[in-house]
Amino acid sequence: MDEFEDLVDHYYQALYRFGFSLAKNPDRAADLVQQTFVIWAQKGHQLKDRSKAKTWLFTTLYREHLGNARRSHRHPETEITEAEHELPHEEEDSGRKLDAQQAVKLLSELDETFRAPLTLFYLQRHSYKEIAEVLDVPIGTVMSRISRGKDQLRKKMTSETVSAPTRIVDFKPETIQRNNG
Amino acid sequence: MLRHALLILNLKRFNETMDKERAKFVFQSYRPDGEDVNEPAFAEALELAARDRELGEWLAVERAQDAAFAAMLADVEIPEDLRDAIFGVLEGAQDQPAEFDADFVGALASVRAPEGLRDQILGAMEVEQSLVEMPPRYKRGFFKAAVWTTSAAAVIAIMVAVGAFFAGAGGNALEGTTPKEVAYSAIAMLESPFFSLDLQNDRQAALYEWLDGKGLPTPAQLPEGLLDVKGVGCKLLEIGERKHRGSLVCYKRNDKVVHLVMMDRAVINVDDINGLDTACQKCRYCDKNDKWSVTRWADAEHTFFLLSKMDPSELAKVF
Repeated sequence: MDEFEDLVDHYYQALYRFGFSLAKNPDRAADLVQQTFVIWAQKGHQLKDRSKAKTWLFTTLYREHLGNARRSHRHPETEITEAEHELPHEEEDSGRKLDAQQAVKLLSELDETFRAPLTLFYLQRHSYKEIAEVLDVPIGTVMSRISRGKDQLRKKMTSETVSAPTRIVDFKPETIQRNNG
Repeated sequence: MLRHALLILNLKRFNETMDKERAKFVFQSYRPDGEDVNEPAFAEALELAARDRELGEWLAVERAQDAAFAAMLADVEIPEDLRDAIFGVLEGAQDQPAEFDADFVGALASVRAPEGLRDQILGAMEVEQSLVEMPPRYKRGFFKAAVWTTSAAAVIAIMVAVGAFFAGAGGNALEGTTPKEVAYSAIAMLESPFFSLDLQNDRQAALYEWLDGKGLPTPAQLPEGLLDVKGVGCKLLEIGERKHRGSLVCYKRNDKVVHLVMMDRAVINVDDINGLDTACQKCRYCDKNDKWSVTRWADAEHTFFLLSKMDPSELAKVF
């Protein structure tokens, strides 16, 4: 159980974040993480090279997600905007939490092709070589997807900033001069 | 997109000098926390950035943006009970011996309540008649089920018993499928323009692992001609109106694709299918579609069908 505990403590949070960005839903993300560890409990002993456990876990979660997505193909996925009530509750002074939600929302709006490599990249736990292994794509493809994903992400961030509601103040220099004078 | 393709091609070119565009592309894949600093390509790009002021400034902005986004993502709230939930699931799993687990999880994964099951059970209960003897096909499943101690397992046992009852009584409510139905269904599916694989991977082991994870049949023994060939992909099959679950694994052999369909032996309504050593002589054109050759064999657990768009004589060379 010690090995399990170590493994869970090391990776469950990063796995959850990865799962959340893929599934776009906290419950499904939690299910993906649990399912991943259940599969580890059944098959983890088959992994000879224990240093590969991290890649194994992320690969398994990704495959589970793909499997779920295929199974639910007939049922349209809930968009993140429709599932906002399911996101962690925002508190009054939770500027950072809001940022986190924004980050997940922005990621979730990306094409699936870019979302997975970019999330793994930003989780900072994986080199591009490991990402290639997890997603089972060539290294060059990962580099290209990260690069293009970042382009998309930044465009979205820019457009969100531009479209964010701003307070409009009627500004006329002569009015200020008159008031100050 | 073209620019990226060209950059990847450029990256592959031997002895290519690092230029600004290439350096930017390389920098974009390195983690904002600098963990990749010892990677040769990164070190080379860094060297250029140290000499090129504009590139250096671009890198500073890039890494600041990456770090900011990574920090935002790191703040995603983790459900408080997630860790406990994981251990709860694991403890539940570890209460049982590993072998039991595999059987149980596999069995549950493959259990699908047939339509009208409730009515069938109620109907069966009304018949005041005990089972004298179950056909051998169901005995194995029944005794396996009998050692299960959970209520879920009991439900499975009831289903198996009900199946045995109907089979014994000559009914057809839970009957299996025939080799012909399997072959026809598989060929129809493979020829469908909408056909797709659930998993594409050229490593056979990866395909078997995926199927195993779904509680689906995998081969214990393969024809010699498939042992060292590359895989193409695999798929969960649902055959016939009863949607009997099986596996499909596709292999690439001499530029042709060979398809292996695997079903639980218990769902095939024919008992005279012989072992792998006889399959070579049984290669023949499918009687419904002569573009395809088929053959079949069985082991204790599963029945296998090998199909390919080739002559029977060519298919026989797989063995």
